[in-house]
Amino acid sequence: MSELVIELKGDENAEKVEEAVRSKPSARRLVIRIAANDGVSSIERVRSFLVNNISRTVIVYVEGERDEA
Amino acid sequence: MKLDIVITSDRTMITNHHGKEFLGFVATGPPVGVPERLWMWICAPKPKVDRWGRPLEAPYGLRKIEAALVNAGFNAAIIDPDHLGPHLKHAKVLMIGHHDYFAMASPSIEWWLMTGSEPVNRRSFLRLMRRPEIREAKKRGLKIIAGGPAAWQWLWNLDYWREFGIDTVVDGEAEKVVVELAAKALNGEELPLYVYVGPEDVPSIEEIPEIKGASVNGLVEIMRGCPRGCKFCPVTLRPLRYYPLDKIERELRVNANAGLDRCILHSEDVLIYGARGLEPNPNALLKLHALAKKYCKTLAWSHATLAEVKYAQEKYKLITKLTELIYDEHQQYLGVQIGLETGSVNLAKKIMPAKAAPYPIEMWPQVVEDAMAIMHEHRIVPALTLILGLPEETEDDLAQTAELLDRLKDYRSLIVPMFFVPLGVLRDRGWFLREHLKEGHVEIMRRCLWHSLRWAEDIVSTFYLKGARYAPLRWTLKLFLAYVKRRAREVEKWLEEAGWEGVKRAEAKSAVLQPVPRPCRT
Ligand code: SF4
Repeated sequence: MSELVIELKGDENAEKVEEAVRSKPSARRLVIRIAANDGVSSIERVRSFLVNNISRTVIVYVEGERDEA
Repeated sequence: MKLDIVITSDRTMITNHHGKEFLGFVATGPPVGVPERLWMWICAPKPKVDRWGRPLEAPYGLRKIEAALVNAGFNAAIIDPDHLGPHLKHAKVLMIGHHDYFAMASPSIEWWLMTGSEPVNRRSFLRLMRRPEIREAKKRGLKIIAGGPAAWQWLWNLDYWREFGIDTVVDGEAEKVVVELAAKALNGEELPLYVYVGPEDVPSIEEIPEIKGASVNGLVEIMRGCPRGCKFCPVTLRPLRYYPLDKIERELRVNANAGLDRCILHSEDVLIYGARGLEPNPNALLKLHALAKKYCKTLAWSHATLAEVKYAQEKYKLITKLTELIYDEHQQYLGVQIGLETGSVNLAKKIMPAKAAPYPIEMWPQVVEDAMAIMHEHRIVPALTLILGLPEETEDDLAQTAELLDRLKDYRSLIVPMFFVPLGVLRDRGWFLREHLKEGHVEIMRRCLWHSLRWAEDIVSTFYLKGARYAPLRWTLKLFLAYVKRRAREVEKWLEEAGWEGVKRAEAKSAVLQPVPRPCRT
């Protein structure tokens, strides 16, 4: 299955994911790696993409500390 | 018994609802007019457990996860929430699942928005996650993985995601991916924060594991997916897969061996089991029901569609044949949940163009009425759901739905209005909130309430809770219904005097009314 790895740095967000998907629409599995120290909060950066995605497997990793309570 | 992986949920999930699946819906409401403990007893009594705290019956979805893990060689089991303590001293992974973690799905969200009070499913889940045994285990390094049909709700509840230290949220059919996640968690490898299982990663029929322990009320899946393609529905995005009869039989046997003599056949539309497209397969259906009756004194259908009820009966007399097979000295009625969604042809065309198939969608109201007549005649008792606030809904659509409700008033059923929740292809649309309610919505809710109250008493005493065993529950429910009627009359009087817009204005000024909760917390 064709996989696409997308790395988000700094303040990059869902737009970069959408752009990457447009450039490789055949990808059925997306691995999104977010470099962030704000753990779970970084989901907010890609939430609009995650909420709209229905057709692909998406796996999100956050690199850096998890900000657990 | 030392487990590496503990699977659990809160009390509203780990219960058999007194053997009456429909009582589970009571957990979607806040405790109204009675103390919360009594409310919980009505909908979620504690189940029987073994000496290690493993419930005799557990939710089917959790049973599938348990089976996938056990088949892969992991030391995993479902544990009742009141027996977590000793297990969490050793376990390395806690897996949780839920139908509605934060009461954001229908009908929880309606009850919450209408009453301003949190539904008990949400309260119960938050209480579970704040238990000291979970907190302490978390401090010791426990990994927590959350999934189930309500996994999407975590995306809107990041503060709880953080507070409870959820390591991974899995959204979608998880039987394959959970094995990989469990291995990573136990080996101390990096876990993803979020996984969405797309259509190409769902398990095939052969890959779907068979349950190892009994499911709540004997529920067994007979298929997955639905070909009708309604735009608001996430189920339709998944591929269609039918379980072969021998696989179903093995699960029926697991339940029977645990002493269960009832079952629920689970499908989005039981009547298309083994179908070619939407053409029913009478042979497959009759064999399926004969098989289920071999193991169960009583059976229910999880879901069906109105179009299939009408078509199956008109073309094959299949409703008559199936009920003849099902009804005997143990069972005289059949329960099922069905989506009515709207009475408007225009709206139906936009959001669910294949819902009436094989009939043209222009016939939708007639399909509904005919199917209801067929079910009434065959003592099939549907709980119908309507959706309010669908995108592009107009006043005219609401008026058509209200008119259809009038035509249904003599058919034994419950009709439950639900607010639109953005799911399926409509995942990006806005939420329907209380402030969006118009007079037309209120009128539909009023008609649904009186329809359901009228029939609820009849259903409770004639069919659902018959016999001395259910007397306390029957009387509690009757008292509750009387309370709801009294309150409904008061609210109606209030509405007659002020109108809905007047009520909304008064609410805005009133300091005594609860603030309306927002479903989304980030
Ligand atoms: S008929 Fe029911 S299960 Fe099928 S797509 Fe429509 S709403 Fe979903």
